[in-house]
Amino acid sequence: MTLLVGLPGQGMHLGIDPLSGLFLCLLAPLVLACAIVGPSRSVAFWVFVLGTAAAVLAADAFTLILGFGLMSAAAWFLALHGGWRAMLLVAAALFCGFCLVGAMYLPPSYAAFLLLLLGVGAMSCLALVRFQPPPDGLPAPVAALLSGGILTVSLYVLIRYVFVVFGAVGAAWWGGVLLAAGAAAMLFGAARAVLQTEIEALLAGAAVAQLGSIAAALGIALWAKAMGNPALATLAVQAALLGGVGQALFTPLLWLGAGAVREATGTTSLDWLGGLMRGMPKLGLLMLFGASGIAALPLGPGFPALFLLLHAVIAGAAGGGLWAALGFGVLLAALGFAVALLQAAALRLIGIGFLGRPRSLRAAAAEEADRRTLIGIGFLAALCLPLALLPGLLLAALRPVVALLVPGAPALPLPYAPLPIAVLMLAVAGAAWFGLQRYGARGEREAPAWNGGFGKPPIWLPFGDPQTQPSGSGFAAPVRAVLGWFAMPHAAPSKRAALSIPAPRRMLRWRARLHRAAEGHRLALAFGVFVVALLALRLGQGN
Amino acid sequence: MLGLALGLLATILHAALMFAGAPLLVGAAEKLRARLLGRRGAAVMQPYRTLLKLIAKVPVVPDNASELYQVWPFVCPAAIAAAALLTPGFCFGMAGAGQSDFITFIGLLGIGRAATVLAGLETGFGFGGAGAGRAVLFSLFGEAALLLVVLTLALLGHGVTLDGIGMGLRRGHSGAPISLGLALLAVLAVALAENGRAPADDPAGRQELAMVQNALPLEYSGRFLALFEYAAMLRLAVWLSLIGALFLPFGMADAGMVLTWPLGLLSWLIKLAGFAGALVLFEIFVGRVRIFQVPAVLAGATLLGFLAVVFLLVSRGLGA
Amino acid sequence: MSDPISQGLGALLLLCGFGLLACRRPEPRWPDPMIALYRIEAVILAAAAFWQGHLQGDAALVLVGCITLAGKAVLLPRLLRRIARRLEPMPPAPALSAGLSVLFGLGLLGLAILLLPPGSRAGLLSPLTVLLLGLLLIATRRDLKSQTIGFLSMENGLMLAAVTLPGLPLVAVLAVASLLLATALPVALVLFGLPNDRTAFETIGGPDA
Repeated sequence: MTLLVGLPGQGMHLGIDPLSGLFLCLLAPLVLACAIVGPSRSVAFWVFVLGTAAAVLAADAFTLILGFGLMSAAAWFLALHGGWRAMLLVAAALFCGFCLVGAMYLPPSYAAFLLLLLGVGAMSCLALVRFQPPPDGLPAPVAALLSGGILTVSLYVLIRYVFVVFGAVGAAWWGGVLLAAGAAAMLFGAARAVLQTEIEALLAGAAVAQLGSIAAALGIALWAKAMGNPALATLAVQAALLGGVGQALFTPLLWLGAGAVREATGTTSLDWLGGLMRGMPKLGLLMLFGASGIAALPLGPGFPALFLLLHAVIAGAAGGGLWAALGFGVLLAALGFAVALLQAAALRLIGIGFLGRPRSLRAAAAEEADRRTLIGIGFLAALCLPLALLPGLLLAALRPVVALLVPGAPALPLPYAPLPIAVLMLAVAGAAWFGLQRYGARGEREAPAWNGGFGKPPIWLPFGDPQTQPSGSGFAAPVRAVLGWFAMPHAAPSKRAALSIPAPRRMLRWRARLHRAAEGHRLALAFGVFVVALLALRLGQGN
Repeated sequence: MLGLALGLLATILHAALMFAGAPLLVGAAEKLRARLLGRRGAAVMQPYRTLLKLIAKVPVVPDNASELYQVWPFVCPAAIAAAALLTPGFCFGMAGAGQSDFITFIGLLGIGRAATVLAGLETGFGFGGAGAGRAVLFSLFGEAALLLVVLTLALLGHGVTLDGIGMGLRRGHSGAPISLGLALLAVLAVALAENGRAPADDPAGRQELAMVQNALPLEYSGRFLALFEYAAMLRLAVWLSLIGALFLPFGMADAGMVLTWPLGLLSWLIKLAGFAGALVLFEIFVGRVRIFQVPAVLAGATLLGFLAVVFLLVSRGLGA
Repeated sequence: MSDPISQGLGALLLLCGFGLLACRRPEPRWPDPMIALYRIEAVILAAAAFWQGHLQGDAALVLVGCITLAGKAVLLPRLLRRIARRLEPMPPAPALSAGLSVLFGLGLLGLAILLLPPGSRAGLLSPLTVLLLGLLLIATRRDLKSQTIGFLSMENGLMLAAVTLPGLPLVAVLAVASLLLATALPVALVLFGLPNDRTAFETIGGPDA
């Protein structure tokens, strides 16, 4: 379809194919849920929506850029509206725009690919880092729309360009780059998620990890496509698409839920929450469902994508040469570690934030979120259900998209059927329940928690001493201790102290430290040179 | 049609034996341990008595627990029971064989662990919280090791389902037995940590400060506690059956051939008994390590899994 | 050369090499983990020699096994323990954390795969990697005991290669020579006195020199 407005002589081209259709379908529930939760009379809200639609429907680069322009202008306006430091946003948006425009107008080559990757990565970081914890009053639905919209569109652009526009020139190493970036993002995001105290920051880390897993799946698909292995490429693309669907559904669900928590208690710090499951049971259940998506546990909405991704990695290791197989082995270990971290993060979110005792009076007095919020979040949760329970059907519906991305894709049955497992678990739990009702002692007695024999707390501490229950940071402390250098502690004050020393003395100190380090590591240095020399000799020798 | 019916029959037999026999396995192991330590020990049937006693008691529910307090005790055994139905016990080719994917299996055990951890955090008191933090810490490194083992077994057995891997390995494998041995060591380390056994935890420990698995259902009593205890017993049986079916698939029956069932049942019994004995011996001779060394042990398991992959690939002689 | 048993022994030796890298502070239950691991390495090496002797029907290899068992599993650990007692005030001073050094070790495993031609990988991977791990141990530790054990472990890797390569002439002579070399270092340390300040192979340095 050609519109008359646009570039002189050419107009604007809009087009719809399975891929853009899928992403429109992903944007629609996000917009709808955000509009239900926080109806916005602001024009900028709807301009942003229009921008995302234009970007997804664009059939030429100009329209895509126009969509981006609308999106960033509206985001800037909304953020400004919320009283933000907008300069950083503008600078980052300019950087993304520069990278993306460069990528779109360069001939398809590795330079364009790398620019695209930089632009998309910067855009996702922007969405997650700047929109997420809204410290100065951006309402949660608007923040969720901005972050979710930008993430979905950037994912769309990545898939569109790498698989369709650059489809003919892709090399195997592109996949390797994407794969490495995805795995790194996954580890980094998962580690952040398990260590952060604010729910929004935790969710941002989980979203980074989720995006990383999608990028890793796309990388495998790209690699497999370049190596001429359409079956593996299909498996990986399926993983990426299901991951994208999950990202567009349960991540905004959790963001909106975090917003409702902030509204009810005035904070989202896990160290001040606790016991919300009794005050806000419906929201708690919805958050539990969303958290099962983060944790990628079976029967949850996050599992099908992870399942396909792990199978793609195993299939890649089985099909490739020695080095590819070793690389996939390393990737598998990294994925396993990241998934375990994400599970820990999800357990921490629910167990510390929603179970246990209140850690502040406001958490104790939290009331259920209003109906609009619950309907909006429940709508997203209901859309997650088919993903969680009928992923096979969903994959069948996604076939045209897969066929567009991987020409000649074979039909692969999904060897994971959650419905029988769910029925089985329900049957076992039901049988246990009926058996216990029939043969066991009936009813239960309510009493103060045993608490290792400490008994009931005194009357002036209605929820017990908050110090005696694990806090959000306390729960993460062993993980932080084990992760060590990977945990990236906050900037130490000693750095500031070092900066206060006058420059010449600082230089001297640095020199002395360098000298000492070189002395202590002299053997290590020699060993490093030895290893590098061996490596260079071997690589110089060729096969 | 007949094959399907036989598969179903085998599944029912397997489920009945597994569900009914799991406490017996723990009871026998405890008895053996007591004997080896020079005590007379409780009767072999003691776990059944404990469960019945717990079921007959009216549970005490903490007054600050949420509505989900009574849900976790049902989720945990249900997930492990689903995993038990996917694990090949005495035969291959049961009704759930097509669904018995290794990754689904790991995920189902993960659901069980998550339900237990959330139950520990339910009332928000110190011991449950400390136990939950430690259980989560232990789970961080096990997953990577397990996935590497899955990779090794998938390469060796040409399959990703538990059934397919077991059958592939029973037919004989083309790769290195070294990899299989290293993978077995890795699986053993993970299984011991997951079940709260020796180097990671003490199943008989009742000292609050040092407990991990036992600290989680500390606020549970009556039938709810019975469900958690039963889930722990079932989990041990599932892991031992899994190790037996994957690493020692000798004598396993085929669901379609009824005549092989007696041999399969016998070999399953012998394997479980042998594993339980080995477990007890191991626990007697190896004490617990400090809590912060358990992640190191599990990271060692990851290293073992990685070495298993490397040795397998190298011995296959794949080109660079 | 790449029969399962010798490969398995190689894998065990490799595991011991990684164990040495991961060793940190001693446990009350296990006072000297590095020396114990070295002893285990020696036993594995002797077993490899016996097995190869059995396979090739070579009495010299059995002799090598006996020498290894007597020299490395009994004599050297005793010597080392004596030195360790004299070094008591000096704690092991790692320059890298255990996890990182094991990760570097994995990198060296990759290097070894890269260096070896595809045909000889199955047999020579473990010895070469053990050798490189010993070097890594020497390079990343700053205390004398760890470095000595790193050197000895390296020599074990060499011995394993010599034992598993079939048809190497004078393997018994080699073994004795190598044992002498391995013993010479601690003996020299004992005889010519230990520097009782914080010095290792490097004359200057240490964590806070």
